[in-house]
Parts: sequence; structure tokens; C-alpha cells
Amino acid sequence: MLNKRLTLSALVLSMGAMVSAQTSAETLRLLTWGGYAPQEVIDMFEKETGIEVKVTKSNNEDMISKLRATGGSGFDLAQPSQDRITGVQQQFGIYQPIDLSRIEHQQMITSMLDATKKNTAVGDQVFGVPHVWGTSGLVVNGEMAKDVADYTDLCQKQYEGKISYRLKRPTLIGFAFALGEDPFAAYADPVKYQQILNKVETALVDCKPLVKTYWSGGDELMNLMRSNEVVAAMAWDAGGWKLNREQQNIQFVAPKSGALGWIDTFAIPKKSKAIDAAYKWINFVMRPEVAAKITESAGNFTASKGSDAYVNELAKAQFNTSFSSDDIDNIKWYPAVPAGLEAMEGKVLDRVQAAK
Amino acid sequence: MAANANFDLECEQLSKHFADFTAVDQLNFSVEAGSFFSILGPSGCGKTTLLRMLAGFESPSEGEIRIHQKRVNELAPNKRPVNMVFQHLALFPNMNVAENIAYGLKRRGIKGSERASKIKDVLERVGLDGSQTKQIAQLSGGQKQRIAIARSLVLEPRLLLLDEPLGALDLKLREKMKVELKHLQREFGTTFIYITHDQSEALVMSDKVAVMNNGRFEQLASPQQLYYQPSSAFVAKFVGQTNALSAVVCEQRQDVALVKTAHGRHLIVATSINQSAKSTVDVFVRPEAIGIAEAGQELKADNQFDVKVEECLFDGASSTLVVRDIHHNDLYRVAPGASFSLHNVVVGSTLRIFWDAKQAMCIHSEVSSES
Amino acid sequence: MKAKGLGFYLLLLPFVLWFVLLIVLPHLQMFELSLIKRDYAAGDSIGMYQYQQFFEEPLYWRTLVRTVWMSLLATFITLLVSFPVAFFIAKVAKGKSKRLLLLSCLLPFWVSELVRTYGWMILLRESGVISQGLLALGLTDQPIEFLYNDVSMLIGLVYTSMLFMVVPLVSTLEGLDQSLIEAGYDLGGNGWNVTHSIIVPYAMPGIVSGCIMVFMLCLGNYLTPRLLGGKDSLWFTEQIFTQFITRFNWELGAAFGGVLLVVSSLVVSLGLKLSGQSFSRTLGR
Repeated sequence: MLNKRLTLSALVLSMGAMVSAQTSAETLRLLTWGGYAPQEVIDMFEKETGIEVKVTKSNNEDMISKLRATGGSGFDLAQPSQDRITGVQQQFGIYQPIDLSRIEHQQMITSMLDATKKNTAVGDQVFGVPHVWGTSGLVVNGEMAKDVADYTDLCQKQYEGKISYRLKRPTLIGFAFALGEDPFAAYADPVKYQQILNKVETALVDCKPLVKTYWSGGDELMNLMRSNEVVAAMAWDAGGWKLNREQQNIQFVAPKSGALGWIDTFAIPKKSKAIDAAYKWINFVMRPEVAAKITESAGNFTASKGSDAYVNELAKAQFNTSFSSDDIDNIKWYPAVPAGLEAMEGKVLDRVQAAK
Repeated sequence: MAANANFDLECEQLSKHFADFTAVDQLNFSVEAGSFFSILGPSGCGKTTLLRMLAGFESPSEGEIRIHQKRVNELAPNKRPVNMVFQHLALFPNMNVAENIAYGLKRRGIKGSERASKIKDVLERVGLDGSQTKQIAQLSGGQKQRIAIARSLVLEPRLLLLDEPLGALDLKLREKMKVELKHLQREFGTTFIYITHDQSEALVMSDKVAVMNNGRFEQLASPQQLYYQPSSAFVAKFVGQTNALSAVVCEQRQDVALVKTAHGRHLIVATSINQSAKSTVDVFVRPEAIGIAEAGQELKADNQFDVKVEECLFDGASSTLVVRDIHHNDLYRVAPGASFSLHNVVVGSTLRIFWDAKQAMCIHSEVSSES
Repeated sequence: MKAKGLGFYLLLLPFVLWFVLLIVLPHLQMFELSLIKRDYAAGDSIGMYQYQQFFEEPLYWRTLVRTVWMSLLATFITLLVSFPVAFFIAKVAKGKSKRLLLLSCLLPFWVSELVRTYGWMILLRESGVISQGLLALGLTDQPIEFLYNDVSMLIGLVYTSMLFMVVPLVSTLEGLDQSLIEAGYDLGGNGWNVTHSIIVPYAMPGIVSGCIMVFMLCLGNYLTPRLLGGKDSLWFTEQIFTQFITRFNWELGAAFGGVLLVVSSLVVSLGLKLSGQSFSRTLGR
């Protein structure tokens, strides 16, 4: 009911989508992240299937907002992170279940597929399959901030005005782990979770005077690190590897308390108009040689089985420098976020920003 | 020129040069205290620049300005004992009448009640008491004029400069304001320096008029002198209506000369200086100095001949006729006045016109006088 | 007569469509949305819950107060900076240089707001042009961070807003008769008297319309406070964005939007009242 009304307020947004929907049935409107659909792959797909791919670059919040505004129409395939599916689906119902029989299982790393199935399930229906995965942790300038090995190590007096992180939920989670808590275990227990958040809030408020700025865009962080204005920051792995290719002394470091692992999935919006094309695309990009191309362009590895063989040596070397096998075991994979949790986190983030 | 206590304003060798021309060219003059002094000239003659130098908005290139025996060249406009009534009056639109007048008083540091009484006083004198709280937009053209003058006069300046303030008014109001300005000047006793391009304004109001052309004064005299004894052809043409004829001198006897116009008519005219034979002169006869009679009638006049009416511009007492010399083709403008009835005059009628030698004058024509 | 009427309504149609579809309707929907309280267990209910949230959480209304205050400050600084500029363009500059000056005010708007803001970041950052310049001149022995504080944010806001102040000021000041200024001096006033009693009152409609526009622009700005403002830069539009986009709390976001609309209308009408101007006289000219 409400969604229908909201449709009007998002008139401009949806109008473009409606027009493109009418032009050709054989068009796949893909709502995805930057780098996940390189032109080379799009061309290959179009040549093989004759289906045209229209890409809209986005992020988690934006994807949810767009689909929520249109009630799940306007796009044929979206790529939200696995932890952002169930809660959203329960509240807004913007996706349709995945028909697992149409997915070529054998192309996917089994453990990752199983984890995603579990995390994106509502009832006995599954709403996502894995695509690209990565972690967030620390990007450190090895010459100037050697001893930063965990999130809380950022908050040292000697780095005053030279550290940065985002004021977003990964920071809360990371700090919680570094403070010896397990926030994921407390997801189902709001009272416990609130206690953890309070602890994190105190740490972040204490740390605030040392922070140069809360970075908000990837380019902003890159510039801060390149110019050595910031010597250590919380960031994502691919960004760290990109900086490493430019400046040897900058490294992505998996924190002692564990890097935070995320998996971006494929999810089909409720009113997708090209469901066949969507499944074709999923199966196409999970081929090892195609997946390797996406790894090149996005900087992160995929859930495609055997694609490592096609990935260039430098990327593999960078991955191995950042992650020992212990570090890989220690990755904390985001579980699905229960509804209502984000409101609690939001208040903490607001208070940190308002603190003097 | 020595400093003289009778003069409110003295200018000595005053010049103003702009990049490519000279607006004011070495002027020497003084203005008597309490007089109405007009500067009359066509647009671009330098009169506005002169006035702006007196007010302090332009600084002289050369020479000295003394107000009440004190050099003011270096004094800023807000420090000079001089006020100005601007062409478009420049009343402050965001203030009411009292606030407009109070503006200058406040700058003098005159406090509340004294200020109010001064405002009331000056408004009474311009006949507008009670309009203190009126907005400027509510006033008529003539009222605005009087408020602008009151605003300046309340400061009791040595000199009041007026920059063609009647220019924007319609004709009827202008006629009325001419008289009123003259009365105001007499009433306040302040020295007025008035610039205008309208000769009638200058003649009606002034004690002294300076006719200005190309940055110089052509003549500085009383209105009567200007009218009856213009010292140059420019003044004669600029001040009042006149018939101008180009002629060649035939011979001269004492103060009377016999000249021949370009079309061959012989005229007897008065001359104040010796004219050599064969020199070219301009002959001037005022339209109202020419008499009209029946055609063919012999009269006692130095000059008389028959003319044919080409145009009859009937306007009651200020009617004029344009007539042409039947034999010699010269064109004259004639103002018959009240003495001659125009009842039977139509285009094509023949009449006789006549005037005495002393009612005309001859001046070396521009070209020869400058050589 | 009938045909003329039809033409009139046809011409009016685009405006009415624009006004109703894109302004009135979304606002009504927003208002409706703001009255809803979400509860998955008990079901949705209608009430003033969201507005209550706004007043009960000090962070929210403090952010609004701060935003309004900083916008007023930015508007005032913009006025101070723009007035001499506008006066110069309107009364001193002539012909070609006048057009050139107005154009140079417009120049920053040929690039996007993001690029403009990044321009300031390049200048002001610790490793930026100004800091490095001071270092090279020996005026400081270590780099200085000019970015990420309220001053840099105000600089950004003023820079972005200047054109919207300069243009209405120039257009009113152009109508100011030079002789009014001269009369002000002639009657004994100094520069301050003339500016204060003649030029400023004359320019009042322009000042007010410029201030209204700049205030609205600052209040609704999102990028500049976010990028230049640093750690403490709470801006109310950011709160609205956060509620809508990152928290999915459209209901509270809609309530914030409503509050912002009411507060900005109140501030503007208060400004008009204090300056003795009417809305139609200033913006409706």
C-alpha cells in the first residue's frame, strides 16, 4: 500500500526505468557496484546471448532505497551484500526467491554458496547467491605507523591527526571485536548488543580528537593516504592493494581481531522483467575465466571455483602478504542483520559525530 | 585678483582638463554675496563640470576656487560651506520629508528638539510646513523642488549650487517655479549659483548671467545687458530670439553703418566700434523691435520695406510672423505684440516692416573676428 | 474570447503540472509519511511520534539549530563580501569590464559543485597549495591543516553562494542614482553615513532577496558541509539523508523534512519582518 504511494515520489527515478523496459525485452538492467560489470565482460555476454546489459552503479544503501522506492521494479538484477538481504526482505519485500535449480552450482565455491544460502534465507526460500567477496581491515603506511595491528591501535596519541575511518557500521563492528567482544553473537540479543555498542561508543568518542576526518568516499581516503596526511586507516582490502601498487610502503593489514568479511550477492528484484537474462548473467560471470576478469577490475576475489588460476600473480601475491592462513580462518563474516539493529547503531554513530 | 569681502565666490584661472578635451578653460570670475548668479550655456559647454568643481566632486586641473576668501580646492564636498540642488533633486527615497532635511543637520551634530524646530522653520519658509511625515513619492514636482532646496538651505550654506533643477518639470510648473526660486533666493539671502541651458530661466531669475561656451565665458553681465548689448554673435544668438543676417559693410558714419545683406538689401544699423568697409558682419534685429504697418505706407524709420507673409504663428500676445523681403528675399521673424492686430493677416498678405538703426546692431562675424 | 481563454489555460498548464506534480504532491506525501509510526509487531499507527522523536533527541534539534545558525552566519559573511563587489560592478565598473566582472562571478558555476568543493580541498588541505606555500616561504615550519573545520566549511558555503547575493545586489544598486550618493556627501555625510543611510536602505530589497536565496541554499547544502566540514560537521540535510538512505527510516526523514521546511519559512518571514520588506517586493520583482 505504502510502496504504491511512494512510487509517485520516485517518479523521476522510475520513469527512466519504465521507458527502458518498454524498448526491448532482451535487456538486462543491472544494479551493481563499480567494477563488477566491466565493459569487456558485457561485450562478451552480449555477443554470446544477444542480451544487452545496462549497468547502474550503486552501493548497498542506494540499492535498497531505489528498489524500495519502486517496490522492487526498475531493475532486473541487483547485487546487495548478503547481510543486507533478509532484514530488508522482511520489511519491504523487494526481492523474489532464487530458483536454485537454474544456478550452475558446480561453478561456485561450495562453502561460500552454502553460507550465502543460509544468510539470505527467509523461511525456506533463498534470496541470494554469492558473487564477489572481500574484507575490510586496516590500510597502514609501513614506514610511519608500523605498530598498527588492530582497529584500536589507530587510537594512539602519536598518530594524532593522522588516522581516519568511516563513521559507518563496519567501524562499530571492527572496534567491538578489537575490544574483545563478539557483536555478531549478540545480534539476536538487543540488550547485550546495546552494551557492546555503548562500550564502542566510549572508545570512539575518546578516539575522536585523534581522527583527522571521517572519510566518506574511496577517492577521499586514497588521496589522504597517498599524500601521507593519513598514515593508518580503516579501509577495504582492494583499496589497500591499489595503493600498494602505487606506493610499496602502504599495505592492507588483516587486523589481529579479524578482518570483516563480506560477500556481495546476486538477488533478483520482485518485479524483474528479464528473469531469464538474470540467470544467464549469473551463470556467465561465474565461469572461472570471466570471474578472473571481474577480479581484475573490481580488485576483489569471486566465489567462482578455479578462477584463481586466471588471476594475475601480483594480485595473488598481495593477497598472500595481507592474509596468512590464520588470518583467513580469522575472517569474521557478516551474518544477516536483524531488523531494528541499524536504528540502534545509527544513534551511536550520531552521538559520536555530535561529541566534542 | 585680490580677495574681496563682498564676494562669496572667486575663481582664478580655473581650468579642468579631461584626457582628450578641456571642459573649463581658465575662468576668472567672482560672485557677489547674496546675488543670484546664473551660468547659461548649451549642453557640453562645461557648466556642469564648473558646478561640480565648486561642489567638490571634481578637482580643478589648474587655478583656485575661493569661497568667502578661503581656498577650498583641497576641501572634500562634505567639508565645503556649499550645498547643491541636483538636477533630479536626489531626495532620499527611503526617508520622509523631515528625515531628508534632518540628514544634513544630523551630520552637523544638531540634536533632537533644535533639529525639529529648524526643520519646521525651513519648511515654513518654503511654504510646506506640516508635510514633515510625508513620503517623497507623495509629493508633487513643485513640492519636491522646494523640499530639495529646503534640505540644502537649512544648513545655511554660503553658496547654493543649482544644477538645472527645473529641467524635469513641465512647462507651466517651470514658469511658476522660476518666480518662486527668485523669491526664495531673496527671502533667504543666500548666494545662488544656477546653471541652465534655458535662457529664459537665466534672464528671469538672475542678477548676473555668465554665458558659457567651449569652457569659457562669452559674456558676464546683467540680463538686460546680455539681451540688449550682446558682446558676441554667440551671445546674441543664444540669448533671446533674434533675426541674424550676414552683411558686408559699405560705409560708416559715427555710430551708424550702412551695410548690404547677402541678398542685396541695404540696411542702416548701429555699431559701437569702427567697422572697416568691405568687412563681413552679422546684423541682429530682435523680432519685437520690428514694427509692422500697412504695405506701401511711408514711415519715419531708418529701415522700411514691404514683405510677404510666409507663415503666421498665432499665439495671442506672443504671436510671430515669418515674412520674406519682397525684393531681396531675406527672411525675418516678427513679433507684432499688442500694437498690431492680426485679424486680417493671412499667408500671402503683404505688409511693411520697419525699424530704427539703433534697434539693430552689427557684430564682426565669427570667422573674421577670430582671424 | 473563448479561444483566448483556452490559450491562457494551455500556457498555464505546464506550470500547474510542475507545481502540483513535483511540489505539492511530494510534499503532501512526505507529510503523510511523517505521521506514520512503524511497528512490525503491533502494526503501523498514525500520530506525531516522529515529530516527538525530533524534539526528544537533543542531537536532532541541536543539529537543526546549528545548521540554521551556521547558515545565517554564512549568509551574513556572504553579504559582507558581496556588497563591495556588487557595488563595484554596479556603480564603478563600466561597459566591458562590468560584463567581464559579472561573468567572473558566474565562472565557478560552469563546473559542478563537487569539483568546486574539491578545488577548495586541494587548496586548504594539509599537503595543499596554501599550506605548502606558507612552508616554502618559511612562514611556518610544519604543514598546517586548514580543512575539516567550521571555518573551511563557511569559506565553501560563502564561495558557493556569492553569485546569488551579487546578482540581486547588482540589479538593485544599478538603479541607484549616482546623485543620491553625491547628495549624501554634499550634505555633510562621510563614507559611513552615505553607506549606512543611503546606499544600504536603497539596496534593501536586493539585500533581502539575496539573503533569502543564500540562506536557503546554505540550509539545503549537503556536499560542502560534508566534505569541508570535518568530524563535527553536523548538517541537518545530512541527517535527512542518513534517515532516508542509510537508516531506511523514511518516516523520521520525512518528519525532518517537514521541520526544516517550517523552520526555514519561519526564519525567512522573520527576516522579512525585521527588515520591513515584503516577499513580493524582494523576490517577486
